[in-house]
Amino acid sequence: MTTGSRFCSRIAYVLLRHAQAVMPRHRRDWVHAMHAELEHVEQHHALRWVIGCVIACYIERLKIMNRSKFIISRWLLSVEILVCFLPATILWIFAMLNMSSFIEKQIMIVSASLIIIVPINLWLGLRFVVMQRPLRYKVHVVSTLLLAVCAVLQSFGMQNPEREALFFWFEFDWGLIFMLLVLPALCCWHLSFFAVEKPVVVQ
Amino acid sequence: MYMPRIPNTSPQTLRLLDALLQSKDSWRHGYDLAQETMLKSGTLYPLLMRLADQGFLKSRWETEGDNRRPRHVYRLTAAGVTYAKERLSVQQRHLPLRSAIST
Repeated sequence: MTTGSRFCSRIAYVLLRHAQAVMPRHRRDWVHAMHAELEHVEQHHALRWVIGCVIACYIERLKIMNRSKFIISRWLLSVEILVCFLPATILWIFAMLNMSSFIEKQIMIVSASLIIIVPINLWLGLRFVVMQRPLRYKVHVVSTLLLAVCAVLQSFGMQNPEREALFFWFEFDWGLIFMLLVLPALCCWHLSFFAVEKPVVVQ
Repeated sequence: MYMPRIPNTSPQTLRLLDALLQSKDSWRHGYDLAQETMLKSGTLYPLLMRLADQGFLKSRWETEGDNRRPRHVYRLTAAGVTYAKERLSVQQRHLPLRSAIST
């Protein structure tokens, strides 16, 4: 086994453990099935296979969230959503208002178009918690990917502290990482684990 | 006008039903099904879960001789076989019409 494939296989098992944590309890058997299957998947397919499994687990988690009740008050959760998404939304509004004052306009436009996902997520979160509308998993996959792009662009700033970073205020900033990644991730994690399946009412 | 979507009519579901129907008397593994139907695991597992919930698919754990973990294997139930035949025949009937519309 080469170093690369050993690394891929380790990543695959880490991802699968994450999938196991995400999968709703009544579906745990299926994660064990995915785990057992991984031992038989060809090595060069393993990572792709596991990524698919993680997506499948998230789909199941969203399905549960759509038909669940929350174990804490919806109003408390909406305050949490506001706390987690509002700082980055204000940042985005600020960037839009001050667009003309930035020298590197193209980079600024790219940054602003990526961060637009934060106000959209704020809206989706409130819509889900307050109005009790269902979540659409495709929208959430896209928004997660966009936030991941933000993270990658931010990390360019971390790797090249001397040069201009490719993102936003052109330098790596822990505050931005916190606002764009840590807070939204925390909020999504909370939302998904505070949702429990409604008990079946026996007539 | 709102038209409710008929369940299990996506091409992916039909491909899976077809593969399961072809080998209705034998138990199939997930990876094996994925390779035959060209479905990715992210599509295959939600479909398998849905079919199992609807009672069209049964699953069990199969232990292999060596020290490997037991594998989950799947096959259609009797209701699943009837349902798959019905779905696939409806699809077959609609195929000429669809191709006529698209040309």
